[in-house]
Amino acid sequence: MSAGSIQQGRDHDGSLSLDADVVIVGSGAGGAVVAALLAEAGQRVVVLEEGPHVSVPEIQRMRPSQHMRRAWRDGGMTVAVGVGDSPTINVTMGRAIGGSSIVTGAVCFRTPEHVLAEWSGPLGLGDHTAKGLEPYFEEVERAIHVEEVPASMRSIGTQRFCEGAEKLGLTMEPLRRNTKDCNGCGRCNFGCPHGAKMSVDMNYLPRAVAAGAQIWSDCLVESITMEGGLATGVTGKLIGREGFFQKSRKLTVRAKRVVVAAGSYHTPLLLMRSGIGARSGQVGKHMTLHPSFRMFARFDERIEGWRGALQSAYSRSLEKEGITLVGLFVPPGVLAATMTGFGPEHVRRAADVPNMAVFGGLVHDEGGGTVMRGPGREPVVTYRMAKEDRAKIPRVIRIMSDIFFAAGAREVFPPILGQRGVTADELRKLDLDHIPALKLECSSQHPLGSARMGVSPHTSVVDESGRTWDVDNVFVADGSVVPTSLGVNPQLTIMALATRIAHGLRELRA
Amino acid sequence: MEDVEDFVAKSGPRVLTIFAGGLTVASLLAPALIGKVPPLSRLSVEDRCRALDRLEETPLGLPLLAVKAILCILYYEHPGSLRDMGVTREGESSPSCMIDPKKLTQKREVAS
Repeated sequence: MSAGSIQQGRDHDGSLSLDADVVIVGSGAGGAVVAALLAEAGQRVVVLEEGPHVSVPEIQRMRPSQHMRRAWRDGGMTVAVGVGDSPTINVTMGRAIGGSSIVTGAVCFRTPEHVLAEWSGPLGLGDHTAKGLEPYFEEVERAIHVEEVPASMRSIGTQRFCEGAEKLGLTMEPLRRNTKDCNGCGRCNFGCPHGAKMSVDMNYLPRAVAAGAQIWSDCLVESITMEGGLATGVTGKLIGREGFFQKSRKLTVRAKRVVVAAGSYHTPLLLMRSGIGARSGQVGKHMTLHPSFRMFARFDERIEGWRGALQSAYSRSLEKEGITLVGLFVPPGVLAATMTGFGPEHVRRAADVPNMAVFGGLVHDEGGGTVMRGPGREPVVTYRMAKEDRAKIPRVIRIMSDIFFAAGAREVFPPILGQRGVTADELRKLDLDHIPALKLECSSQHPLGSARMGVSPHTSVVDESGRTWDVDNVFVADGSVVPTSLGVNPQLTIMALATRIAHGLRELRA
Repeated sequence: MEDVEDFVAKSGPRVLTIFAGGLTVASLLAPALIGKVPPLSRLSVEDRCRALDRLEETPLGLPLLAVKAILCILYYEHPGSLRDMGVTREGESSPSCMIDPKKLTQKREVAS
């Protein structure tokens, strides 16, 4: 997407005042889809994104940490604070034009059928069946070019993990990703330098612009304005080149409808600040995270995990246990950060990085996350892990270790703070069932469900069309509407649900 | 240090809090874990490493991990550090991976 097609709030002189049929807060996987479909239907659309616009030529000149400080929320240091016997979880999210779609590994899964069975059955979302959502998935998959990652793109680390898994009787399958001409440089999380990842800044947002939508970066929306029980638009401020600490310029957009697509951390925050959702008491509740655990393994051979697709294979053999194993790689610097020790000893251990393989396991969790208003402009998020989910952690660590050892690894590095590499014998002696929560390294890339969809205003925030129960002309279209945890990467589900919501919004106008 | 300051400043107020908190915990608490008087900066390099090692093994190692992660990411992304670590990464330090802008436009059109 060329820089000229996005209007940059940081370069705008003075305050900004706009009129639209629909104002969309957030330009990620949900907001971009709604923007394109409504603009193409002839509606006047304004998209407001808090983060900057980072173009492909800029990404090509950036080191990973430069992308993190520019396009990641909190430079990648956002957390969900563990409550009780729950680990504190590092949650990574994008904060730029394209939202988290520009920092994902591009993994695409349709919503698993057993999850849809729960939505359409006990939760009463009757149209959310595999058949009912099929046309929306197909539409999105065409638009973002979802393709299977060929075995030839697998890194040596992933190949070794697959060999180990198969020895233990687990089935490994190829992942699907939204890429085109990916050359496997492994930098997906830091913006694709080749324009090969089909994030929404490569397709839906250009479509929206071509259809007349205005897309503004550097626009922080602080509240939805209300009159007579209906929304009249949004207000906020423009963020300047100096970033967070500068004199603000006012932002006002008047619109007939408001679509909130700011992600599972900020959508509930905006609704709370605007007094929406208080009736149900459900805003900010039930957030799921897919708590994830990485496993590193040291081999005698050089693995060079940075050669190959960042994510290329997965296993659903443990689906019934609520565990999904998904391939990944992390940059050498991040890998080195998790090596124990300091000074010369740390440098010595970091020299093992080229021999390290990485894989990840995620837990299909219950909704233990809560988003609350904080003292500043960011939310405070806590996470109380369900007992059943907590019990899955030792299993995740053990199975990934066993797989790597079966593949010939010398040592594994469990996700435990201060834990040095251990051999198979040493691992058996570790009391994995009683690791204190504070010592677990846990991350999440999939916050979902904090303004969930449902059939009752007493148990949900929006109805099946994405409309908030409290205000007729405020809709939500992002990961926060996902009713339950998925157990797989959520990008495609978010986009399919946003497509369905956008189709409904188009019909409303007619 | 300039790069560290830039990272913390541009990443937002929360990172500044996390970074400052992590450094404070490391500076004041780590020496006590090896029976030394804080701050950490007064200790020899060997003692600093030993003190931080001990802190890393405790549940209070979490804020330290955040600081260590930021520093490692910044340190190890430079081509010289990567080479020292044995990482040979085509395209990381040279512009050879840059895509032809015409090809990028074609891709976008196909995707749309």
